[in-house]
Amino acid sequence: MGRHAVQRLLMAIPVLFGVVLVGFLLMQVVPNDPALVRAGPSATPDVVEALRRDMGLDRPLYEQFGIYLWRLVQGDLGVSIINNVPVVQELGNTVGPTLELMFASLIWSIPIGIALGTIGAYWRGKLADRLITAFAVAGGSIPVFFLGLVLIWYVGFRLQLLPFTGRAGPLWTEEGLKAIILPALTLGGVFIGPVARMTRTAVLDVLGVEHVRTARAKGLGEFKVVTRHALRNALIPVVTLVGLQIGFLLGGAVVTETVFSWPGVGRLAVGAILSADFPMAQGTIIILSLGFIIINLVVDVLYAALDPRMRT
Amino acid sequence: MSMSDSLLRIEDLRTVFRSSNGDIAAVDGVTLEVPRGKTLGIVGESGCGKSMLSLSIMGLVPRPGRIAQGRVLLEEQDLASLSPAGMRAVRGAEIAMIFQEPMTSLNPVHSIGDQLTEAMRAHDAKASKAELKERAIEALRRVRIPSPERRFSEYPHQLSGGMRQRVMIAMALSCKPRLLIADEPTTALDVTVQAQILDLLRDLQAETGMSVILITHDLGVVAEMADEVAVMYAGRVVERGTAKDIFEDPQHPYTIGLLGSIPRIEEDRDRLLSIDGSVPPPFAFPKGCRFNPRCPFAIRACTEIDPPLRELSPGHRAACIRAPVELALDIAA
Repeated sequence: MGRHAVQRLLMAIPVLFGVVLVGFLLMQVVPNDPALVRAGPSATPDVVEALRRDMGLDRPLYEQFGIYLWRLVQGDLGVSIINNVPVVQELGNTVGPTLELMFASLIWSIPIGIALGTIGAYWRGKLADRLITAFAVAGGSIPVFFLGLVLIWYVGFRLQLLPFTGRAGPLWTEEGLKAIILPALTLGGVFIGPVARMTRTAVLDVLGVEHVRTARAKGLGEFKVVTRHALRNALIPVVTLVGLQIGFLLGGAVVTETVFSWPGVGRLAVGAILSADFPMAQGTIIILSLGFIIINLVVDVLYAALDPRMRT
Repeated sequence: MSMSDSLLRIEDLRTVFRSSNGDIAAVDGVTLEVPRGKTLGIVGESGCGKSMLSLSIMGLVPRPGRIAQGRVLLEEQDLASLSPAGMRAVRGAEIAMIFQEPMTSLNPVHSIGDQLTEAMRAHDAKASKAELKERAIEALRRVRIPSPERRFSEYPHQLSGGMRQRVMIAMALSCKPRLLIADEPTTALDVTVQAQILDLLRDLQAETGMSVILITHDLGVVAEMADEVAVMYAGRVVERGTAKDIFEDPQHPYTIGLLGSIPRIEEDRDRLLSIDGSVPPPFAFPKGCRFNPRCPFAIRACTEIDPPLRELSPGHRAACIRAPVELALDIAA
């Protein structure tokens, strides 16, 4: 299992390289000129030209990329061309809040999604199943920003129950906890549907397998039959699918952070792209991709932990 | 056979599945006794209702099926009328079951030991963990699994098919049931392993005095194991008797056909006899005797009269209006 993880880790390196390359090239395609952005609208052409040389933008593309890569492996992602803050420092400040938001969103939505999916599978075709399926489809179809706006308007604005702008401190303080509820409800809310649907399918598959009949023949209660012999096995595919979905949830985090002014990587990315802050935008792309890769690694390890057949 | 000789009595059992055309009976009015300490073989082609009969006894008929009529008496207790919780207490403890597919009948994600102790704990909540482990290892030893201590913490994929079936048997017997239902226990195994498993079952039966219902389509297995035999066709018992009755003096054309399809070394036959066609599905049972479209001896009356089981000699019953004729002779001709 250890070798398996190391193997996966090594395989992540070319993936990451690809991400850096694509991110770099994307920024070249954007019609904005970084030197022009840096110099400001009132700068003379001479100043812009000098800046371009200074920033190395007059060199051939491969050379620019080589320099970027060389700095990257040293942990240097450049400085923001808007406010001169090192990109690494800005990323360091925003990764925490994003992780916090992801955690607060997943901690409740995954268990609820799995429970709903299991209930739906067990009572397949019954009223409970139909309600859950309808809920899952509806939930999965609501855009993140819309759910966020509805929560802001109703819970935050009309009822004045919870704050809805920004982060108010770490999770373990009362203010911090209150501030994260609405963003976490938004981001987690759109996740319940997909998790429930995937779980329902997986549990349904396992419920038809002979070993479930064996479990019943032993005289086990239905709760044990479903949890230990159906859900436990179904978790193997569910973990894989949920892992993939968490990657896509990073996209949802970008929207949620923007809607709720949550000071995370997603909002940083949007801000950087809108203001043509090239190094910053590239940095956020790299960090979000890294997140995706790490999640996939965790899924791989979890997969082996859940399935004894993978261990030998 | 008097009533007190039987451990289990099935009376007029009907297990139906709801469909858009009304209820469809997979088991249709079956009456059987399972003798105490002996083996009842239930034989038939796939689709004849034998597996559904065993699931009905266990109270495990899959939805949307249900027992619509009849009683399943274990001693004096009617299992068909028990509550789900009451049935759960019987399942695994009084009646245990092993299945055809040893590859898929064990859960791949739990260790052998976990699955064994789980079965015991379900019926003995007080036993300590160490005690359960000891009992599980003992159960594995009883089914002659080598180095049971090591196997205890292994997973099903690390065992061969024969070993898995032994684990299934160990699990089934772990709570000392009075009745073991073995549904095609050796069908998925190779011939040598098959013989070992049958030997094991016979020895364990002698040791524990339990009754066995052996469900199979393999008459060779029945001949080797069963004291009494019931032949099922299209949801019904068409012939019942001692193993001797069935094998030496079969009376129902279906039984005769089944026996004709066993290969025998001592007979020099150019081809095996076989029964044309297959068991009709429950929604397409013919009028009259359900076997009549496939029966070489069918007369016009067979398409009109639904024959009841008739006693032809003490304990030997067949559901055929043409019995007892010397059908066996006809077939040889």
